[in-house]
Amino acid sequence: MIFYRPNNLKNLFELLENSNATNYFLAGGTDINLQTKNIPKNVNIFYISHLNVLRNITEINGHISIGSTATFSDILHSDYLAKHLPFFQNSLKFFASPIIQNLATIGGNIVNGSPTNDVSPLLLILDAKLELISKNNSRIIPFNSFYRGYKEFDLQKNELVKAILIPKNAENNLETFYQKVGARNSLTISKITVAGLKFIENNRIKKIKIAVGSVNEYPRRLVNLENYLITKRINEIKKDELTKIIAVEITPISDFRSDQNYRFVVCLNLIEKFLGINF
Amino acid sequence: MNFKTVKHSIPKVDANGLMRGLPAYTDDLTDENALIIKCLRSPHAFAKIRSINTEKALQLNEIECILTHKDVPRIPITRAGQGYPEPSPKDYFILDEFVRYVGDEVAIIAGRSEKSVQKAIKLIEVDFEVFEPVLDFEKAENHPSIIHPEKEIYTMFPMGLDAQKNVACSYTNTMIVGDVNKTLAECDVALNHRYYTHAQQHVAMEPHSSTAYLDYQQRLTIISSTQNPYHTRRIIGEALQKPLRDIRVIKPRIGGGFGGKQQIHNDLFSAIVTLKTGKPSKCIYTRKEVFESTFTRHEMRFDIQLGADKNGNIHALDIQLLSNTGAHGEHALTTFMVAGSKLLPMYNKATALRFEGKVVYTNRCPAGAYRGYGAIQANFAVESAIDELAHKLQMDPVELRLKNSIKEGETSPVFKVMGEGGEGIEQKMESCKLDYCISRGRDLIKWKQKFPFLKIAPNKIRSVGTAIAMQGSGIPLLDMGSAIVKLNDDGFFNLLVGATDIGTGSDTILTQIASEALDVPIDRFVITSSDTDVTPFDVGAYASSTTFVTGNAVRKAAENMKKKIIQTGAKIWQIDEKQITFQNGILKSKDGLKTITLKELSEGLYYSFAEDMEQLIASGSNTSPKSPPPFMAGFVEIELDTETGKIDILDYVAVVDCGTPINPNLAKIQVEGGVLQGIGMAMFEDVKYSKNGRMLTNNMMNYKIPNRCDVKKLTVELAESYDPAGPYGAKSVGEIGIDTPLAAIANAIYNAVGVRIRTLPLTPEKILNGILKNEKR
Repeated sequence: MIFYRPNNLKNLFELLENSNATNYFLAGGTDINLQTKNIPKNVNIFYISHLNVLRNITEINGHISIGSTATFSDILHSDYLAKHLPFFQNSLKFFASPIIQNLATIGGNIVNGSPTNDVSPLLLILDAKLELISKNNSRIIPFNSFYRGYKEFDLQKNELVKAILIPKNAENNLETFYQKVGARNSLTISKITVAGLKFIENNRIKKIKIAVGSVNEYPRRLVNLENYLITKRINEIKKDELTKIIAVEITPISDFRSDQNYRFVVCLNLIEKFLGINF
Repeated sequence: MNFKTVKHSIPKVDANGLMRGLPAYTDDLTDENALIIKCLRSPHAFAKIRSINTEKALQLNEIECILTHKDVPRIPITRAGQGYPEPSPKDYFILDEFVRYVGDEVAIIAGRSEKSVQKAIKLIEVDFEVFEPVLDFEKAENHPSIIHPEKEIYTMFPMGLDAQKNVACSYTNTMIVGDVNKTLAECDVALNHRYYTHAQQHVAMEPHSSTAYLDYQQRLTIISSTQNPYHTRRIIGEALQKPLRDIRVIKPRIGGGFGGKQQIHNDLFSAIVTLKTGKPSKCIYTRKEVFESTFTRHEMRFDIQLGADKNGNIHALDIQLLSNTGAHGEHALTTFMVAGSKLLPMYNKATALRFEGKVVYTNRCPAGAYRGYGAIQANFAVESAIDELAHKLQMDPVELRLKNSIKEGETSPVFKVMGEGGEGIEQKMESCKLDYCISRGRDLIKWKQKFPFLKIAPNKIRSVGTAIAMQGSGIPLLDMGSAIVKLNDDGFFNLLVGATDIGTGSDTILTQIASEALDVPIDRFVITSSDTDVTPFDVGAYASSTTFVTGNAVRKAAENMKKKIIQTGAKIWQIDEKQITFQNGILKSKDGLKTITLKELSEGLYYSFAEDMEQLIASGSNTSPKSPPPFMAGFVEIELDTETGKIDILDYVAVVDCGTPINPNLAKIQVEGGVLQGIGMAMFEDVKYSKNGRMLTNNMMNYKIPNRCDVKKLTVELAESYDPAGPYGAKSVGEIGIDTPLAAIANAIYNAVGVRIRTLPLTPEKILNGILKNEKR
């Protein structure tokens, strides 16, 4: 294992190109302890947390761009986010602990690919995009299509996440919802996370987005549920239909943090709470 | 009562150096050339070592010593640091051909670098014969797998050890008062329920640490994170067959114990490596080793029968207990007995009482001492049952407790029948403000406005719950503490105690007691705890003993010193002792003509009083036929989310009777810490194993203790109380805080949503499941 600390992006891509082992990016590194056993011996690790060019939080073309190595403290203290995306910012208040917030990066959290990560459900409902860069290329993809499976991503060789782009007005005039249920109130791994956005006019659902974490192999939007709900009146929603759709769209498991039934019931309850219905 | 130093919240005497991070703990004090010791640990829950080959590992450059069961003395001992003769089965060998839990020691490896030792561990070849492990303690008795088949194990007095049946001890037909079955049959209301309490980890900040070296006289010195240096010296002497004169144990600062360091742990390994190699060595456990290979709280199962008349007078209480001691029987009998002896006397109006049961071996991490020590487990069962009874009687559970709980001046037959490990000693409650604690706590939590629940939002319910507890203040006529006070030139004193401050603040409160008794300002004392070569005997920090037991020893020693100072004044001034006063560090004749400061006196005594020169030194020892219990009422307000089953602790009110608090601030934080640890056990902590017996919760990511966001408010109040047997009226306060949260929170959950959880921990999964079941009904 060779550990690299490139001087800048250019240097990073040069080093990547010359590397003939499997390359890993390391940003933050607060989860690395758990993964050291799984990292093969013959790998090169490229530390990128110190590259400030990847760390800015700025406004570009109607989007707030959050650099992939922005720490959670950066996010929690950002005036841009406070002004334009307060729901996103406030939802992360109890992310990990202050010590981890100071080190952990948003890009690391996403690319770590844990099904339980706290950020993805938020990014999914906020229509976030990812800016990906490689030596000679850069592309923007919807965050929605980034996860392909458990710890599988739409990332090419030597490509990394440069920034997360969230439309500046993503929260405007919308009702927002975010609830993470863990074993304790902070510094805890989610048993289930539900995030939602909705716009209701004349008691009719005009806009709806729901994303869940910890109940599938990666965090995802509940598209079938959204399709069912859109244009419905709240009082037209049927408990059995809702239950049936969710039962197909989520695949919770029992592990030592919680059990399948609990995750299912709580997911259902939280979605009902978000929708404001009480069967 | 007015005191000069006692009952004042002075800062901890060791705070300054610790806050500045100066070297103070075992690992700070190790020789830089100390050999690094690690253990090869068993991957199997139960197996026999057929063969073990260390040749390849020994060839590594930096490896100095590898020990297997063939290389160490085979003496059955118990690692439990408690009284002697020990009330625990002697069922442990330094290394054995059997491994009895995942994480058990297979071999001890010592080398000049950690890297080489880790490498050596991988090169040791072991052939195991794997057996079916006993993992379920309810199936342990008469299980085909016998965990301790070895013939040498024994107990120092009869306690029902039956190793062939996996029974570590049993206790029947002894603690019986009245006719329980008949009385229960005559009760208007009776209940019979089964409760389970789970294992818990201590999670002290400092891992278990030990270092050893031979001094120039070839005496073995061990610096250890131990709660009981004298027991450690005795047990090491026994295990290694060495006279105690050749062993010295030093206890430096300790980063928390909670009972986890009341057993010998890696001291045996550092001692034996240093003896074999002649070189200094150290064994500092990793967090994983602390979790997997030290001790947990005993898992227990209670069958409770409780009966009362329709007016709410409790007549009968029956406790049948099964306890899981894991692979070894450290503290097996005594935690078991405390479960009865610290619960039954609380309901002393009952005329029929019974307490019986067994402690069994399993192939799990050994159970040992842990703050609360059986009382906390029984508190969950009995205090849950009391609420269930209140519900059946349609009585307010607070009223039921006020009606039936022990009052000042009263006693209970239980004190005489059972102590820790054997018979107890009769005692009357000379201080007991439990009734005050209950009614004060009820007011503080605003019980009358909040009981049983308030619905504050469609999915949020707030409710209250309560439980009461008693603990002890040391073990009567078994625990002994002592102190030495020595006057030095410049007029300051050494206070030498064997009592072990493990972060509790005992050095501070003992200094306060000395200052009060001697009437000398607190900054004139330098306290040392503990060093078996230097400080006098003390059983150590356990059983809530230090304040009460050692506190009285310090008071006696300081009073003796005061007498000696006055005698010295009489001698040098040639006047009668009665004509002399000693106040605030100044010796005066009553006529006011003669005065001398301590500084001048000590200069004279050591340099200039000619034939009157003398070292002033005084000692005091203490043991007591009494163990006045501290009492506590715990009240919790929770907010329960019916959509997730999650509960938040909004406030935890603890009103405690610990007699005179020697240092109110330290007494309060002892209670706060205890309450928080109890909340942790109730809601978050659980020791989980895989099907094969591997511990899954072996790190702090998987084993959750509560953090600051999990408890909104802790309210601790100390009742005005004075126990004539204690130093300046003090009782001990180390454990009492931990007992009540389990039942109080379980009772609050019931009050909120009618879900009765009888198996700990109180998880959102169980609560939500209960809510759903109730809805179906």
